[in-house]
Amino acid sequence: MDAIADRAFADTQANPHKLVDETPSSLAVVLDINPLEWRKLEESGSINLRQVVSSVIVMLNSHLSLNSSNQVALYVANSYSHGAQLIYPHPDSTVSSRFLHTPGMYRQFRFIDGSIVDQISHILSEQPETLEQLVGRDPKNQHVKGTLAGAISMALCHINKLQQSDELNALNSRIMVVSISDDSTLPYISVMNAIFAAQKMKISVDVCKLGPSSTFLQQAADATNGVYIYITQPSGLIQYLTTALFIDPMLRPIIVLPTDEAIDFRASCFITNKVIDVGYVCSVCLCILSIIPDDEKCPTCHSKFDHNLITKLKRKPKALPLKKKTKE
Amino acid sequence: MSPITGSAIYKKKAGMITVYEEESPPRILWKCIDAGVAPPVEIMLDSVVTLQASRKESPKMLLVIGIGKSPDNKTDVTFAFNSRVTMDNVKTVLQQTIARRKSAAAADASLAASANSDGSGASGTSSPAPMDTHTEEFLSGMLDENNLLKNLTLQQKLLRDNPTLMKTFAEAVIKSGLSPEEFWSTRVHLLRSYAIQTNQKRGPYNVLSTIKPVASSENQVNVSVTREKIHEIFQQYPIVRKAYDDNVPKMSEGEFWSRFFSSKLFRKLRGEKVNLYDRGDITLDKYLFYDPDYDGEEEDADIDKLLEEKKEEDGLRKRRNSEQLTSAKKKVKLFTEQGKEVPKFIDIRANEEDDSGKLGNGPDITMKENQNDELVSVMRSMNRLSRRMMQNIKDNTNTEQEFEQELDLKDLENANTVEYNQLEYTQRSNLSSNILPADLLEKFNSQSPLNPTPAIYDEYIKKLKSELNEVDLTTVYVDNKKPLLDTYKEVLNVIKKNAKSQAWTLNLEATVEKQDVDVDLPRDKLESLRLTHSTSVEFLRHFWLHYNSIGTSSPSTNPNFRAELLQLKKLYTSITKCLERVQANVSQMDEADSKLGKLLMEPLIKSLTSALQSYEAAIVG
Repeated sequence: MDAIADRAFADTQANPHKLVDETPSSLAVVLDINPLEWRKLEESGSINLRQVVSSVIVMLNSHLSLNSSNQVALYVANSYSHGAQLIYPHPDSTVSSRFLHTPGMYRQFRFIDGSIVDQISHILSEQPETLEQLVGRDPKNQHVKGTLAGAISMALCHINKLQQSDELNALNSRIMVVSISDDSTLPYISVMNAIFAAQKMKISVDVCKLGPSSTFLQQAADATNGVYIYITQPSGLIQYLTTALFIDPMLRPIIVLPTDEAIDFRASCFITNKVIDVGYVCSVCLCILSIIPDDEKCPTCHSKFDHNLITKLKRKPKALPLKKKTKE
Repeated sequence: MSPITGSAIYKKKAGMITVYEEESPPRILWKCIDAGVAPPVEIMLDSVVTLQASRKESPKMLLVIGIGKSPDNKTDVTFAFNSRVTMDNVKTVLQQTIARRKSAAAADASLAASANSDGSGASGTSSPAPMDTHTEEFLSGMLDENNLLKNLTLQQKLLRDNPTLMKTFAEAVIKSGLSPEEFWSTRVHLLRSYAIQTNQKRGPYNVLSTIKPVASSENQVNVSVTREKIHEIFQQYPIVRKAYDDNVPKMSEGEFWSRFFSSKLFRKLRGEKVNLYDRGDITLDKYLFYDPDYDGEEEDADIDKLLEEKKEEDGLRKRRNSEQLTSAKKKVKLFTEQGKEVPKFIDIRANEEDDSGKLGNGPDITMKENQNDELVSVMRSMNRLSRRMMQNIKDNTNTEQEFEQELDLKDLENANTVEYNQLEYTQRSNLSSNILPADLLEKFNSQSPLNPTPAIYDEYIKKLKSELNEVDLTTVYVDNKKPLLDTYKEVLNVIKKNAKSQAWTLNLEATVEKQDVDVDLPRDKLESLRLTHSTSVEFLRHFWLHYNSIGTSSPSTNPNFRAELLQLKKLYTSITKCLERVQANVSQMDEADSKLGKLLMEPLIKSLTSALQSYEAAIVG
């Protein structure tokens, strides 16, 4: 371990003593609470929502205890009826009556933790009882939007507000996403926009991935100098959260990140929403397509495609038979 | 391919002989086994004129290499071998290399001859102008794709300089029958950059600084000057030209130059410090006191010579005058490029720093009292040199037009309005990202509303609602030691891996060796896999090129359609063979290696099969 750490430090040009100081930092966590995905995870016996919420709370407490000026924020995403929501700091939170089985706990933590659990509980309790109540009977109107990108955007807005304010503008911020859903629930453009915004604001997006792995979140972590880590041992979650996913923004330039370096850079088709290897790109708006639209118009910017070109593209190649047919 | 190597005896000392044929120039190196007993012997194959080996029947195994300029004037180096095989190997390699070099030299000569003959001889030695329009035309013609593909000499040269490309060429074209045109058609960019690289002209440079006297063994100082250098010296230092004109009929040319290089004048022109008591040259050092700004324009004292050269001189002077004018204009232009908004030419405030009323001679360091004489003279001579070098550059840009543009008052013109094309933007994909699983919805919609079986959602949501009723934060780490430790190890391993790969990217120069270290295969096996891989990729590239070309064209739009069809069919068989080669390569390995080999070649096998499948799917009838 020591040898490795030494090498990593030696290879960077920056002087660590110059960079690391006692600047406070803020941590925004986005928690994916997609109910049916949680069902899958729980049935596979890996981990349940309660365990993840507990671990995240411990992580938030750890972050707060590092520096008295540190800040935390928690968002939930992908709930069926509420979309993305701010959980903590909640605008109208009341003092919670919960003690969370930790009698000797620091009083401030107890308020925060109680309020977090209360709010998530509240959102869960407001989910419709049946699928019928949720989607209704009209097959055309049964769309439930994925809101992870929305929650990340909210977190970015919150951080932006902090950075604009006079007293807190020195705050270093980062975002951590606990994701359990797969890429089909992610609106590609919104996710990419959020990634670029984070990149521009120099905010790292860390990803703690449970369930199926995600190409887009891998790209998000990669583009923002964040950590993407796929949780192979869910029962050790707190260890991931307090080591690999606990790296202060100030330390990022000078240490080796425990991120997965094999990144899938594929994009998703704008029509079918599936990740594709080879596809078409609109020459006007760069939208990515896996199929040629029937109306020969770009689905995003409505530019008309050249008909001749389309027929050319649609034509299938012909090849000569391998052996000459013998005349019969 | 590793270099040919073997044991050989030189002057009764045992050693190892190695032929580095891929280096440029290729060379042989013999090293004594006991380092220090005998110095290593290195022979550049460029200088080999003869090669003799003892006959097969002969018990002696000697290889005699003659080095020199011609077979009559050479020194022989004799190596004795212990094994006939080693000697034959070395001999064959030497023969090939020398033959290759000879044919290349002949080809170069013919190329040079053709380049000279089709122009008016503008690139002759008499006027090596830095910007030769003739060569520019020649170059642009040469860079044309068709000409590049036809230029066999250039291709051969490139192959000789690039051993990796040579390997691919040998495998794909020579052994596996890909046509050379095909091979080069995907590498036009390489040919083009190589052509530019080899035809690049050198700009003007301070010629005296490149001349360095070398002390020879007989305690003499030797200076070598080429004709081009002398020409450059005359252009950059007209004073030397004057000295030469004045003195050369009286003394020999050689004498003049040897005097010049030992004179104070030489040192002064080079910008070196000249001490009063330095030994100089009486004849030439008087030119030290000539006007340093002498540009060869004053009346020459030697009237005879003047009359002789009058016509020529007049022509020269005219040219020089016009050049001075352009260079003066050029100066203006240089300034305007720095001052961003207003061209210096019409900028009223532009001369502020030269306003002697305001700052006096302040800004000009050569115009100060008590200024260090040395510094001033160095600055002056540097300025002179730069000015002369700029004068000698001819450029084709239309300066008249440029100055007209500079006189335009840009802020009086109408502002350009940028027109944008409005795009209607809709995010259809965002709508399609439904977080409810499609199969669940389908099942739900097909179910009758009266059906009492509740959906999975209904069952689970009840449980989820009560999920957070009891939260105990201690559960995250109490009685949980093993997974925590495992996680710790896992994270550490990822860091180690990343640290390693980061170290690699930081030490770029070591990448090639590192790649080899990382793969646990014998070097020759790895090398053979690599070769197979690059050859296959070569064929795949051509396959898809033609495949897609056929796909997007028809016999009416593409005159080569039929030819491409046939070509594609040929490539199909080549790819089948590639696949066989890959498999043969893997199966030849040991069991342990073969597993790794399979792993390495799997992506290639996939792409080869996919190419074959695409072809088979596209077969007509």
